[in-house]
Amino acid sequence: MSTIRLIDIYKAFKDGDNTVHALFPTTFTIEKNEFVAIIGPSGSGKSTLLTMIGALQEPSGGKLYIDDVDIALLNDKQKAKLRFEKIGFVLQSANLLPFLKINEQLELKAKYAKKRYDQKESNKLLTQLGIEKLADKYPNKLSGGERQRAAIAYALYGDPVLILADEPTASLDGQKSLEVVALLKEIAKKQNKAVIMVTHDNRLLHYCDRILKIEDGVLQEVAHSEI
Amino acid sequence: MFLAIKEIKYLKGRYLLIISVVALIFYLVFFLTSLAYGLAKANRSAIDHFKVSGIIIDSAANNNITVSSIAQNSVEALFDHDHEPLNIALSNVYHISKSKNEKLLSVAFVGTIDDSRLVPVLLEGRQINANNEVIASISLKQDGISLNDKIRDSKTDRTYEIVGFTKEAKYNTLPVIYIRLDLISPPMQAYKNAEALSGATEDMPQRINALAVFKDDVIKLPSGLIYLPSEEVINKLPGYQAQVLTFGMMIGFLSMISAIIIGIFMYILTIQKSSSFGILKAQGFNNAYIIKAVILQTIIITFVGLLIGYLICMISIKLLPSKVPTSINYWFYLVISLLTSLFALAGSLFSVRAVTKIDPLEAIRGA
Ligand SMILES: Nc1ncnc2c1ncn2[C@@H]1O[C@H](COP(=O)(O)OP(=O)(O)O)[C@@H](O)[C@H]1O
Ligand SMILES: [Mg+2]
Repeated sequence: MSTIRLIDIYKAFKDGDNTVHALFPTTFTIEKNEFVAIIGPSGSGKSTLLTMIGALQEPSGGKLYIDDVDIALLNDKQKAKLRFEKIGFVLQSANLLPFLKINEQLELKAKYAKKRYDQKESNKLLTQLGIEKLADKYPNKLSGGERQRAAIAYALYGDPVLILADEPTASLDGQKSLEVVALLKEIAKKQNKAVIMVTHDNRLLHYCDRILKIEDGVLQEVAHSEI
Repeated sequence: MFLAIKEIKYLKGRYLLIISVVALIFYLVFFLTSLAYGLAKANRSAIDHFKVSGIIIDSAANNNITVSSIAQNSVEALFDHDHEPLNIALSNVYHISKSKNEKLLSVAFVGTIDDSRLVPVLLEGRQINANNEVIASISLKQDGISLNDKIRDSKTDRTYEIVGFTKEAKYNTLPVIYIRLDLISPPMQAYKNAEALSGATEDMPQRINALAVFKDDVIKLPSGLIYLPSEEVINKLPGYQAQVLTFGMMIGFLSMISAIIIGIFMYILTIQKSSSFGILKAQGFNNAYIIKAVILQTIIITFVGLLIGYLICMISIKLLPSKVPTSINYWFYLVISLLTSLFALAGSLFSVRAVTKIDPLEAIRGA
């Protein structure tokens, strides 16, 4: 039982006659309660790895299990369902819809899942993230840090097992970045979720349990001391 | 539902603009429809009031009742169908009044037997009791004619008194004056001051323009006679078909154009939102859910546009001078609305396609 299990996953892009190896065969597992960082220079394959784990693009080979489900066996519709139910995405500049208020974004998720929208649960979540006062504001009325918190609230709503964050602090200043990362760690620990964060900001790494480093498509796990 | 409504709420200004454009086009469509229908009625209402299945006329009349001339007794003898003789004559009449300048009006005389079924319901006054009495379409009141006024036929110089008004009846846009059959029979029109109709004999039978047939059984006619179904009679009215076709084309094209405009607007909006939709898809929302929102928005725009267009149309018809022939036909409105909505939905298929083409991966990269 692992939340994420990769076995010899690799990804190559054909570019005319050239083949770009975005990720060489990679094997690792990530459990609940773990906060894992993926680091590496630009173009090293971080996003490619993260989107494969997010069932958004297919690996060129290898096996990928999310919550013990073999992704290769799912069709597009089933993959979408899996993403909706099991994965929360937190993106660089927020995954929020511009035309919904913060609480409406959560309500949308409830509506889509054909569940009753639980105002209390939503309030609790927003309070936890310190943005309860912003519930009925549109995203463009929020600061960068607030928006990222709202995005995390949105990702968390519906109780996914896995949170994928691609450079969630890229648009934030140092202090705000630390706050957001602390929040992600808290989520991994208190809510028992696997959290994977792509970042190139080494100052954030001491919050993480594990560090996976990619260079030119080759992934290896490194210790905090090696950074 | 949620997505569609919330977005419209957020982008009120934008959607208001689109809806106003759509409403204006629908207004034009509805308005043209009532004009077209009003004009059509001004051509055909007298014939519609006949409630006959068709008429028999002289085959040499080239489908024109007013120039047809047939022998009444011999034609009537041909069949025992439910029928009535009918004369129609176009003429000008003077409205006799004390003022020096008598007003000249173009009218259509429709000659029938007494208590004819060809004459529509009386709204005022009474039926014809004498040769010098006529009843007129209520629309002649707009020309200043009142009950018991006198008119003089410019062709024959005979003077008649208006003893009743029927509901509006027009023949080829001319207001109808109902009169005793024989007073406008083809020979009677040829002579001024001709005395009544006793002249008809076996050898010189009374001549009429047409025989109106109430029930459309198979009618075998000798050569020289032709049976025209009512709809055919109407279609052969001078100018009628050209006008109906012209209006029909205009209305049809406008509905299509409004549908295309809705389709284009929706497409542009969809493209503008594609990054949002991409993020939704990345987060596991399926195409169907997003497509539903797009289609619902199309329906809302179309429906609200229709409603507003309809309301403005009703208001402007009320404000229009009564000389402009307008008539509201809800059935036409309904058909046009349904067709346009269908076209608009078909137009939104481009947006549907665009939604399915959005790559969630790209949206994630862009975000
Ligand atoms: N769709 C694609 N087609 C071709 N090459 C791609 C595609 N996506 C990514 N790549 C290549 O794969 C490599 C890794 O990209 P990416 O995972 O985005 O890197 P990172 O997120 O670490 O900056 C890069 O060389 C990039 O150009
Ligand atoms: Mg990247």
